[in-house]
Amino acid sequence: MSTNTDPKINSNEDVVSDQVFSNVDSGTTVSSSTVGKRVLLVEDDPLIIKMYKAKFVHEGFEVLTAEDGVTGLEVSLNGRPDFIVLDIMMPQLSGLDLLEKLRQDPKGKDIPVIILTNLTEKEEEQRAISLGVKEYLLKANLTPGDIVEKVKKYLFT
Amino acid sequence: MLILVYMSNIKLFSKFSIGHNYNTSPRSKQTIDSLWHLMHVILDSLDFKVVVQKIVDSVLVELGYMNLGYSIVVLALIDDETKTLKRISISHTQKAKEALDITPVPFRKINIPLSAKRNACIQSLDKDKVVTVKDWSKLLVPPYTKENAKRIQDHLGIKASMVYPVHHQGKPRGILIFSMTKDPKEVTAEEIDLISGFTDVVGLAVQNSRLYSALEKSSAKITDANKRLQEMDKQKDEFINMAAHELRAPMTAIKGYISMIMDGDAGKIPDQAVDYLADVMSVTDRLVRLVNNMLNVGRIEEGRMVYRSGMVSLKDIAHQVFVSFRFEAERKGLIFKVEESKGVKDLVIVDPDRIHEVVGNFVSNAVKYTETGFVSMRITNPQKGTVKFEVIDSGPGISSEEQTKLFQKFFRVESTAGKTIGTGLGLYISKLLIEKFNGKIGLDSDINKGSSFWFELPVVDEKEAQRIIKESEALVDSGEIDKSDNEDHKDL
Repeated sequence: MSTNTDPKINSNEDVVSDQVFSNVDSGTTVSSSTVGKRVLLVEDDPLIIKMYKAKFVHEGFEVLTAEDGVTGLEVSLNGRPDFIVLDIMMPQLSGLDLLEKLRQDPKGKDIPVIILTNLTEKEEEQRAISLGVKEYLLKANLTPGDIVEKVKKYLFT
Repeated sequence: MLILVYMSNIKLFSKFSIGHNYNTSPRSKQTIDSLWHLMHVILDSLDFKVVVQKIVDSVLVELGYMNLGYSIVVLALIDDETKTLKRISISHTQKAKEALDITPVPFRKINIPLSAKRNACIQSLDKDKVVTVKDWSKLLVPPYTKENAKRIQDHLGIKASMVYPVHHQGKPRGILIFSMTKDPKEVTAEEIDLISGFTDVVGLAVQNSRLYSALEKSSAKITDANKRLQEMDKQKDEFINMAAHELRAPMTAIKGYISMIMDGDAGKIPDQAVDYLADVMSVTDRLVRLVNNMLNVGRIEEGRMVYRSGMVSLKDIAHQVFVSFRFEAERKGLIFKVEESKGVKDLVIVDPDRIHEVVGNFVSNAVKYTETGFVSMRITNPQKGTVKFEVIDSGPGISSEEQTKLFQKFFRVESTAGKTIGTGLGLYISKLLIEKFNGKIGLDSDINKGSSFWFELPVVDEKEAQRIIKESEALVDSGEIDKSDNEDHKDL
């Protein structure tokens, strides 16, 4: 697949990118710092992904979404996200397996990632840390606003 | 226990050898030696099956040395459940083998009812004395027929049998049958002394090994039960993890959407609505904490918790926690504040999320149980190198009796249990965590005088803290904090 996958230019290149790019939204609230910053949300619960997407869009981010690990990996590598917010328990490919493959790819090895999960197993957390995630966060402990703040912190400081 | 039995046997033995007005002929000395030997052979084992076999074999060996014409020894014991006298063991001798080959009733099934009063074995038990029979029908009916008993006796050439009661704790609990190829008149005083001394040892040995084997059986049962418990424990953990994960998903959505509505993301809403939503938010947070505590307690206890060490400002933590309880405190009309004196050193090396939980637990309790007055967080340096974090409230206070139990798992204060939701885990977990971070935890309180829950941690300066964090990016728990970490803290 071509690396030139700017959604605004090549929206019909193939099936995967089609699916991916249809999910891109631009923020309605103009915030000079977040404009043009693209966040990928990988999360299988449609209700929760809808919520986070609304918040990030509200804060002026461009938002890509993927509701399973395989799609998540495709979009990570070809959607040129500036930041990835990644769930762990997902169908087809778990968030951590996605992350491992992402880190092996030159296109994905440097993208900053936050794990956002409701799973608090020692093994998962250790593995995530060893794969170089910025943070391992518990969804239920945080509001979408808190997560936006975290992402901003890593993107702009 | 074995030693005790040995000692009681030695007592018994000396009673036997001294009490019987013995003359010290070479023969009787041999008897004494034989008895000593028998005792050691039998008491050497503890397993019931081994002991009962040794009993019947070794006495024959000792008697056999004297060429005295004993050919079969049988041990039978009372079975309380079936109220019968059961055959337990038979000597490994030629005559015994022949008897086993031709017996019409299998050895193990020769059970004599205790009610068979005409049977010589039962008579020996009942009268507690030695009974000698020349006719085996007296010994074996029931369960044998008279004819069968006679036929076998003739076949084996047994002239007589002596039935000795075997005692335990002063009561006959079984018998030993000595069958001979000689006439009872030929039995000497020395033989009788040896046999009667021996039967006393047998009583103890049997009881001893019975206890031991029962112990072994229950030990095996306990091991088995323990294994099953461990399996169940694992299933329980898996279930709790799954349940926690499933509970957290809806809580995430409730909390998330409420926060967005309160932030005005969906447009302006009336102040009254913000007020209501703040309440929903605080109970949702309480549920989140509840699930976290339930899930974390096992992890912390079993050392499965992942700790990350970071430099944390307790002031920052206080302000974060303040924000999440502000609405609830305001709604109850409480004065809610963070007190911090200028220049107070508040940097500590802990897991930021975990210390947040501890402060959250303290403040949650204070706000929950205080109906009027205030809740205040205070940060001080009681001495150089230590920072103290206090949560002070004007609530009902806690009696000194309950204070001692307050940090125990599942403990809940009597007057409040049932009135509010809670698991009695918050303070217990807080204690485990603070101790994990090399700190101290406690409270000062009295009935009607409010409470002050506090913890103290070693304070660090910024430079030193950064060095420590660099050294251990992720502090992974192995049940105990690494020694190197302890030393690092001491250095400060």
